[in-house]
Amino acid sequence: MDVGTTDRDADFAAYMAARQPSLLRTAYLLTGDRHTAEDLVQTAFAKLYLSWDRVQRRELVDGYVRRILVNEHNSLWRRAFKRREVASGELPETRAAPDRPDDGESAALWAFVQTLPRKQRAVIVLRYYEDLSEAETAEVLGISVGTVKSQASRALAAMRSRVHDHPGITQDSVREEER
Amino acid sequence: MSTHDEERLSRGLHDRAGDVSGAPVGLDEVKRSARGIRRRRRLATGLVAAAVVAVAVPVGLNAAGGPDAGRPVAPATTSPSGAPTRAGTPEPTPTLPNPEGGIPLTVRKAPAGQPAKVGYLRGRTYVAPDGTTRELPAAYDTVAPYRGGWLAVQRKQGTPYVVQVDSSGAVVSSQPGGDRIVTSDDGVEVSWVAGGKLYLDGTNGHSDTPQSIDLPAGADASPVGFVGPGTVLARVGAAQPEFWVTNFSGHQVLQGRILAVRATSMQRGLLGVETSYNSNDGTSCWKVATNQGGDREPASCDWTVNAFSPRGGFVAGYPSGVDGLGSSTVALLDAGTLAVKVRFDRVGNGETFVSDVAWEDDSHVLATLYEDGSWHLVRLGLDGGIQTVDQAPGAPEQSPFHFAAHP
Repeated sequence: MDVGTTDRDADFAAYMAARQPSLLRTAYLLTGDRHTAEDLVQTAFAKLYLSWDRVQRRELVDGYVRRILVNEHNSLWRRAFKRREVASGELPETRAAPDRPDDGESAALWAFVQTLPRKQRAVIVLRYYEDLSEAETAEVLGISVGTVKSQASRALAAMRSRVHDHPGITQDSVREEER
Repeated sequence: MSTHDEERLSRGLHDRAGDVSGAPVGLDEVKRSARGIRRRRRLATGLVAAAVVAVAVPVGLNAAGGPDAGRPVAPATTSPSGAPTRAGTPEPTPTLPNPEGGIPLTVRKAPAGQPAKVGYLRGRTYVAPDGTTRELPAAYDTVAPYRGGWLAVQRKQGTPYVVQVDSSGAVVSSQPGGDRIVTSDDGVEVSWVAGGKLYLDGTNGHSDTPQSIDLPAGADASPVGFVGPGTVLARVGAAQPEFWVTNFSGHQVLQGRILAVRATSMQRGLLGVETSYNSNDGTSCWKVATNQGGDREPASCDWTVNAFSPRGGFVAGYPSGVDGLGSSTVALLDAGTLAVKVRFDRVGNGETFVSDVAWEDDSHVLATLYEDGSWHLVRLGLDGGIQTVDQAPGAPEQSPFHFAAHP
């Protein structure tokens, strides 16, 4: 007996409606750009849709889609890097124009987050925005708990130094980490 | 590291993301993206397969012990039909193994077969095993003959309703329920979930009051299949479901690592159980639970256990990593070993896939196949034969064919 495409679509649409705003915010923090974030979320949902029948335990879906989101973001970055490498040999510009006016510490924090290497940035977003545990973050990113700890610790140390002491930080100062 | 810094960072991120919103992504857009991803994956898979064939065929090697062990072996020749199928090259005939080693899963050149021996839905039309047809009040997800009419499942805004339709085609009742209706091997017993109860009618509507047991309040539940006379296996719960076996005077909860049960064999008391799921690559492992104890149970991380043949000797399955739109491969496996008896593989890189299968007898499976922009009901044989049975238009996401509950 067919479980039915309509069943799947109804379940999936309900999940999508419930999680879309949250995933978009996470994607925005990962990419720094709303349009890129929207594209990222759509691609993540498309890949989740292809796997929907296999995700038998619905409590695992959130972790799974976060993983898709992060991996897809890394993949997009790599593709962009390759294209630019061929064209100009330059690194891709990862900082988007600010979407809204901002100032003070919040602006400095956001500028700092945008300077982080993308894997470290993913650790920070999952740990301190999604409020995942170190183990959950490690699971989503496919890295060890030790790596999560060290990446988060280094980011916090850098934040203390740069945002506290030099709030006018620019991303150029840490661009080398992406290499 | 200080908690203060962590709090600052957390607050900063929440402030930044707090008012971010974007254009809502709709299900149709997601499906379009999914189709694009699927096409790209197929292209990549095709290229890899071509590379493998180019190396393996001249040498004549055939790896044993993998998911393809036991399948018909491709001849070590370089005939035109043995080359990877690309646009503009000849298609293999349905009777020859395709480059991936299985029987080509295609209706092209497939002969027309006899009408199906099990009932099915084609849109709103019920097609009975004798070939007669009957229009139903709506397009249902499934039906089961009941009290001279039908019990049916209809999805309303995502919620399954169990609908009783009388012999005149009038709807007698409709209430929220499970998404499956199951029947016993002899077709006499029928089980369904409605109104918070699991029902068993052991007389196919000839008794006044079906037996029932209460389900937990608000539980998403559905029968999975009969595991013996008057004994039903039911899924109770959605996120972390329990699996109940009940004779309707009580129930037992199956123990052990059971993520899902997709198939049951009433004659042999077998279950097709999903035992693990890999969220990294979407693959899963399955076993045939024999409930005998002692003997090692057949297991596979290559194939799903979707449906047992009527006498329980064979299993219809898909590759364990099959994606949500359907499978481009169907395998008929030995239920005792989960070794492949025969497999049917999509030809080329077109959008061809199977969305559902049902055993027609102990040698043949019916499959709902999407190919070349149309849906087909096809018969796949343990002998490797493929026949067309019915055809209907439809979008790839929405098969018009649904199998009726049948023994």
